Amino acid sequence: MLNLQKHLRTLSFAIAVAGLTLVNADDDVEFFENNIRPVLVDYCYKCHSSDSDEPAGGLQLDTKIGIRTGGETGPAVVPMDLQESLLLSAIEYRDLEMPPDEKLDDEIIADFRQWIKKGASDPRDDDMPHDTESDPVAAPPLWSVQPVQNPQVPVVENHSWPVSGLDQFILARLESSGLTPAVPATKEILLRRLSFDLIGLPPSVDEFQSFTSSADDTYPAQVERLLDSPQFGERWGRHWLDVVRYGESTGSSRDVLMLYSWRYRDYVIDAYNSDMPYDQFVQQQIAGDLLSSADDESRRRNLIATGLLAIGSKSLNGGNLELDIVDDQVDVISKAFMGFTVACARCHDHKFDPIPTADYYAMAGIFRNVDTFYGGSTRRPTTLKDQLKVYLPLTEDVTELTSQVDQLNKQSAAIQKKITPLDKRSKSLKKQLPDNWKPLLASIDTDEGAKSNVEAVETLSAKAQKALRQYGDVQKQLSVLKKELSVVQAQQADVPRPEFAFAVQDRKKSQDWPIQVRGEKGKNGDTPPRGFLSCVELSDEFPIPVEQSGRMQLAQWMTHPNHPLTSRVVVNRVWQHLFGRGLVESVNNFGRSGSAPTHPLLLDWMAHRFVHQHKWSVKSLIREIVLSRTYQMSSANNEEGWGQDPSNQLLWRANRRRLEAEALRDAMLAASGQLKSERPAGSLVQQVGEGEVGRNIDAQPLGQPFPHRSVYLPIIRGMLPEMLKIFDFPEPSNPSGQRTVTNVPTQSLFLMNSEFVQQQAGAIAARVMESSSDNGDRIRFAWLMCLGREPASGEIEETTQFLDRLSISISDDSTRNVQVWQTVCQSLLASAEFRFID
Amino acid sequence: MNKQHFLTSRRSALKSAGCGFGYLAFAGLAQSEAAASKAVSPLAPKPPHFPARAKRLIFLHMRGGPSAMETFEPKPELDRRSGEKTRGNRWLTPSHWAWKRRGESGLWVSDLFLHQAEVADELCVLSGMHTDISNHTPAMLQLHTGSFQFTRPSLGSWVLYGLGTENSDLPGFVSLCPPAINGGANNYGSAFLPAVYQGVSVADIKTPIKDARIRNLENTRLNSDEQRQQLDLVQSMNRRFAERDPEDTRVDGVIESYERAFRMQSAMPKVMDLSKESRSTLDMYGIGDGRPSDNFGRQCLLARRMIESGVRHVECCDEFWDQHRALKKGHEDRAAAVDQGTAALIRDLRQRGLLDETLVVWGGEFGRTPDTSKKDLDGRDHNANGYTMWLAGGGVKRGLQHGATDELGFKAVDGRVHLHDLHATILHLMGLDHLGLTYRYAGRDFRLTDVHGRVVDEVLA
Repeated sequence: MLNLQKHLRTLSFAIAVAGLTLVNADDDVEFFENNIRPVLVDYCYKCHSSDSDEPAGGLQLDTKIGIRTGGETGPAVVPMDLQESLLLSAIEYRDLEMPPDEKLDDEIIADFRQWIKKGASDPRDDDMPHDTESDPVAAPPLWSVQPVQNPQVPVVENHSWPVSGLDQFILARLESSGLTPAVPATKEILLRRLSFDLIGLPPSVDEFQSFTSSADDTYPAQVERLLDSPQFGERWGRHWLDVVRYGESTGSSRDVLMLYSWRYRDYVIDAYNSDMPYDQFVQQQIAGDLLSSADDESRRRNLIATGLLAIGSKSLNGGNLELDIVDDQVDVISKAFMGFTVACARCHDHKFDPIPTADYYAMAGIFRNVDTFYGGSTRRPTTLKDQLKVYLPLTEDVTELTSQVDQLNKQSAAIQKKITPLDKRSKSLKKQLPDNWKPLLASIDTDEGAKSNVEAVETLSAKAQKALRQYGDVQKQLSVLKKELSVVQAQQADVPRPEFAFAVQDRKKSQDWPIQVRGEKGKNGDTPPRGFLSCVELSDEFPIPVEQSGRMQLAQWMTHPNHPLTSRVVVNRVWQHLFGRGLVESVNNFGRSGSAPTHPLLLDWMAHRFVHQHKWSVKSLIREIVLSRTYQMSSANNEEGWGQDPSNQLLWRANRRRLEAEALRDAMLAASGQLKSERPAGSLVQQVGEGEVGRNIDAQPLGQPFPHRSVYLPIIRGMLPEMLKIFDFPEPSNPSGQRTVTNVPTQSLFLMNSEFVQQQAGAIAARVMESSSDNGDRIRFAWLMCLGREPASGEIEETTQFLDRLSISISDDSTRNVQVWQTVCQSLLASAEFRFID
Repeated sequence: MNKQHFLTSRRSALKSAGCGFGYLAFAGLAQSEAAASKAVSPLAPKPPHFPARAKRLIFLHMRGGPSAMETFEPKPELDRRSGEKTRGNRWLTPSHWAWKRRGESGLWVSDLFLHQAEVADELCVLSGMHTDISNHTPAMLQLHTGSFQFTRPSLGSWVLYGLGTENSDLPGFVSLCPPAINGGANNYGSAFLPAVYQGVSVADIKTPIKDARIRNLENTRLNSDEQRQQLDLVQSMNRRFAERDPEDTRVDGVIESYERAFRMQSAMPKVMDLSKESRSTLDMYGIGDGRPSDNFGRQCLLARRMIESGVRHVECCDEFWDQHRALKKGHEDRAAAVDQGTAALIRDLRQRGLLDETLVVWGGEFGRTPDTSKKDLDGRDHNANGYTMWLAGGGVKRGLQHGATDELGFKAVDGRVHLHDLHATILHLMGLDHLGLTYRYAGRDFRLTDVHGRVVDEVLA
């Protein structure tokens, strides 16, 4: 209980800190800003500020605490006490004379008197710390590294509303703020919301009709159907790929294609589909290659999982590539699993969070003992031997393959060795041949040449005859050898290449890594032993044996049931995807500079349940949330909620959200009937082949129609697919937990004019026209397919009029009907409603 | 009925607040473009709080942090103490270029910027700049939005919100070649301001501006009249959807965005087309295939063309001035890229009589330290405590250097201007009171300068 109280205090502090900037600037503050601060800045800061190397008299006037505690002679300002405020006596030149150069104007001094008299209001606690070392001792404990609690579900007044503990937490906060939860969403809105949320696709017309027409509550059955759908993993896997900065090229200054990233992509999708417990998911990605595996399939899977550590963007154009790779690994591990920006501590102690540089090097030291296989330099290897240096084969044993290749290499080398001198000899002999040697050559050793040729040979000198004969011999030998060589070369080409993956392996020897002072290579400081974050306290320890890298222990530490960050962070991510905003809004930043949780107790309750009740099952967590009444609320606005909580922090209604680029594109393909639901083999970048963007690749394959789900589009970092880029796809070089939502004319232009949207609209039009010959039915069908609802009568009327009007202006009889329907269907795709889920 | 009431009140509140409401959002009122155009767009020009000194704003963003002691702030003491050890294993590094006083004003400009040296008399150099954080991403966000901790509207969005824009066929706020990283779209985003105020990006840091094709600007199937009919249908659907939650400005944003997109189809190609510019103009800006100044020169010329067409705010962005090592070469390359275009822009605006009502701002997210950890003394690290930016044009003093860092360049000591103060000053010059330009969100009035900011009167002309 005591613990809980402490915890609550921490949380409320965090909220108070986050709320500070919400305080209205009142008159006193205004007075300070206009009359006091400028004077302090202009006349005092030069000698009395934290920026001064040694503040004169130990007095700092640039912070509230500095001005109140004062320097060697006592407090400079005591609110409402003109006598005790030494600052005043100094500027009035009573004892000290400040500023020393010239006495301030009387008006200014009067301002100071008034200010102190009125309480010396000073807003400067709001100021962010300047660029000086932070003082971790003075900072309050960080809420997110305190143990996860299992709080009591709060009591609520309205017993009939909640169906779960989650609802009670939400309702309790609403009730205490005098708010009421919104009514339930209509069936059609709810199904569309659920379908997009769980599988990233709209409900089909059949699904829609059966759900809305059924008298029974089939909602739970819909939830199960969608959770079981193979498209679930394609939706939720893509969320994860944002977080782990998934990409299929090195990005950065040299954008070299990475042909095997897609294996990791497919691994992630499969993991979500099979509802792999999240702790296993984490362990496999950090240390899959070190885990024991029951069979070859799980061995391959575990190895591919470590692709997380290899698929990051790489600066292949000089710099400290090796250190940068380690940095990228620390960054992605800490942001993705812990919502922490540990990488800040590479050069200095973290400015806001309790992460000293030593922690960074303790963690980075783990990855320093790892070989990362990502494809190597800008010149990608072609021979198996070289490929094996930069790619990891998934085949367990490649010795047979390599010996086969070696054998063939030897054979071809041996043949080549014979060819080379013969070639040389052939060239020198050729010089001695007579001018018209070609027809003569045939007759010299076959006797089958034309008689005239035989005679011609006989007229040659003996020397020429000899040369001709020898040349013929050499040519014959060469042709035999070249035939042999081509056979061997064909065999070489036929040797199956092992399946490659991007992954990591531990080095043979492991060692700790000294702190690189200010992050620069070779400037060694202390050497912290490899380890984890010192601010996270767990009941178990995971000592790293000297000979191991420590990845295994990192994986165990990270997934310890008491780890305060791992469960909170993932629960918060899931929450964000279902509600549009995390309980902690800054999903990748659980540190001090991030946002405080809006519902700290609920977050802990959920995180605790996730580990102990749901046994890290993400599907169970999602199921629990979407079955809640909170999730099923309408997004409709009301005066009471809007007036009090316009940003819906307390969740008095559902949040309207804009579909992500992928869902938008997939929904169009689904409506047009063009969507191929099966997974494509590999990635389009393999069809492009090894190469570098802008230099030597054939981008042709990237331009072909690609009717698969958007998660399978090639994520070439410097060359994102157009639609993804336009609709706010995150920068794929950085771990990203939240997508920004913009609304710009380039999006409108894409929806109005792009070939893709026009093609989809055309295909929808064809379906619509086929569905019925009646315009009203057609309109109804189009609305169901595109918006997941019936059109209102006004909409049918308006659309009918539009069809008539546009028909008049289109002169081509043969295509008129198709044209007008395509225009209507495109309008639906372009409408705001299509891209928002309520 | 209840609902009706609060909707109306919001709309009238918005109108009286001077930021008019989604002109097409009045359900059923605007069936045609003609009716629509009579209503007030949220982007329509609005009167400033007080007479503006500058009507338009150009920001030349030197991403990565250029060095003051290489450009506008000579440090003889630093040069003299070159190689002296500072804190830890760090050494004072001297300025790498020769210095001269330039023009009639005698403003210091180093030989790194020979072109800008020629327009020195137009510049108002702020050498007492300081900001709160010295990491690129947060510092860049603070430069653009005033805050690095929270997602806040960008300066351009505030300006657009306060003043609207004069050309309804072009975006009011354009960001040329912005980086996708370092805060990405947040640097020109509108955050909680209505989405219509966000900037439109053209090309990006990886795509030279000359390759920026504004895609999808033409429809291959419908002519303009037919497309207008289609758009009327789309907008009617959107207005109907807007009724579901009239408070959701995102839908208004969609509506606005379509109208603008429709007009942009003809206006944008015109403004982006440099083919009618004379060879001498192109030369002045350093534009030409293979020239290092081509990309930034084009951006500057485009900025001038856009400003001339009534775009309120244009930002041009240069690649990275972040030379921890090989500073000499790095800064040389950057100067070769930006110097000529920058000077040409000032001169061109002056020639066309536009400079007096255009504010040009130059600078990065912070500056660089006087010392380095590099033994060859050829590098500088991030410095948020003292750095240089400059202003030119509408309402600022000419040929003035305001403020200074200490004798070595570690900290701003005289004429200190915090980034918040710069923001307040920029708004002031645009005719906006930084204390008065507020937007109520989540129960609080927000402003660009939060609880900070002081107009730097000393630089006002």
